[in-house]
Amino acid sequence: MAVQVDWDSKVCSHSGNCVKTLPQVFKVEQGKFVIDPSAAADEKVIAAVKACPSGALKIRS
Amino acid sequence: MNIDYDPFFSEHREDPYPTYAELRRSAPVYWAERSKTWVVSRYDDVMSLLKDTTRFSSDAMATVLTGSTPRRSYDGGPGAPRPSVVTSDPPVHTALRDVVNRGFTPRQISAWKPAVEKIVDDCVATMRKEKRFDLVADLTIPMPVIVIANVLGVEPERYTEFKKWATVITAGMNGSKRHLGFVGSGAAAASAEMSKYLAEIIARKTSDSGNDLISVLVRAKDGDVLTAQEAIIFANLLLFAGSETTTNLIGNAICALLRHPETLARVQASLELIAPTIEETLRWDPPVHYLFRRATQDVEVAGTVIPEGAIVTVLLGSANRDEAACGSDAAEFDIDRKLSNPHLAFGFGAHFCLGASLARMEATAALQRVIPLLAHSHRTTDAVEYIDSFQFRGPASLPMEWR
Repeated sequence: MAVQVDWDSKVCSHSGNCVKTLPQVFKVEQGKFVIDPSAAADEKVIAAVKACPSGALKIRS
Repeated sequence: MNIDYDPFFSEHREDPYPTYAELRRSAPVYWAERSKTWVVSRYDDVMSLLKDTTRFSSDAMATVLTGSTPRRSYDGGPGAPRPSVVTSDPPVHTALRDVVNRGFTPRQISAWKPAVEKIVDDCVATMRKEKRFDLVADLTIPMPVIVIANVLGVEPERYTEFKKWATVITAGMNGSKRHLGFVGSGAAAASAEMSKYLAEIIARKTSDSGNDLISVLVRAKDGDVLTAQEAIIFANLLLFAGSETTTNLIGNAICALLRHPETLARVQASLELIAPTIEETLRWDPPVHYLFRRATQDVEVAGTVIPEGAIVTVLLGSANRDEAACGSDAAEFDIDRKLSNPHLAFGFGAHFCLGASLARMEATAALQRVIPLLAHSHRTTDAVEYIDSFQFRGPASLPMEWR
């Protein structure tokens, strides 16, 4: 199973980094932010989460 | 080389980067005796420090810059305003940030875009009227101030006054008048004048039901809101932090392009290269060079113990040039660069710049208009004089003449 990603909307600064780096995983659909970690390799998802500047994205342990 | 660096006595303001390289190489945790601060310059250390809000408090942003007393553990006395979103730590910061985030959603920023483009057009129209113009005085200074004034719902005509206050505050806080103190330099008085003006505006807002930023932030919707006093603190911060920084970002981007004519020619030929130009400017020559933190306990960084209570200068401008994180050619300006680590121009972690998307949008709007104009104008001098600040970096003027 792919890694699971949690998103904290209160912490998010909407910098758009994740949506720009991995659009197949992090996307806005009908005005809602959705995450589909299965759409890319785990290491790519982990790297995108690590680069989240506000710390809103976390890998679920 | 014997390093002599100090964040407030920069003899290296023209070009601080060779000193930063020397710090990273031989003194990654450097004691600056004159200002009594530890200076951290390597990318990995800067990154860990910014993420660690427990051991490094942001109250230092206020204590160092304005000389106020530390108040990390906000006592929360009834009616007391919380410290600003810049100087507070979690959990107070988390609650404040949640409120102000509402005003800076991607939807909100795209809604402002047409107004921003109109402001740029107005500035360009003024520049076209004279044979000579100054990209800084005529565009990069007024444009972000007018944008913030619009966002706050304050009179844009007063931008010259806002700018005057911001200049006095900068010089007293982190520029040539710093030695006179926040009060002695006149910065405290300018700040008080600005607050008084904003207080009048906010008093009016709380009684109406507008959709401008301040109305949204003070109006109870779901969860927390800002009190009127907190809204004044925030508006003060925005007017200041939201203008000075964007002015310098756009100025530094123009300077970088003027110094790299081949890159300029490529961007002129395809304006979609403006986005990578802005990102590379943020990395290579950022508008804010450092932040401050206070160690809340003894912390070891790169083998040196920073003692509890010590002030730390976090060198963003150096981290962005660290070869270990940004590649062996980190000193080069290269808009094709693929970064494996994010640049730290907007900071990182809980305090990541709230206005990052707004800054990018404003810089894009400005450069889209300015870059084509550079083909029909030329600089009247090659020398660049930098603004009166040790912490912020950008050109003080860019005099040009139409061909």
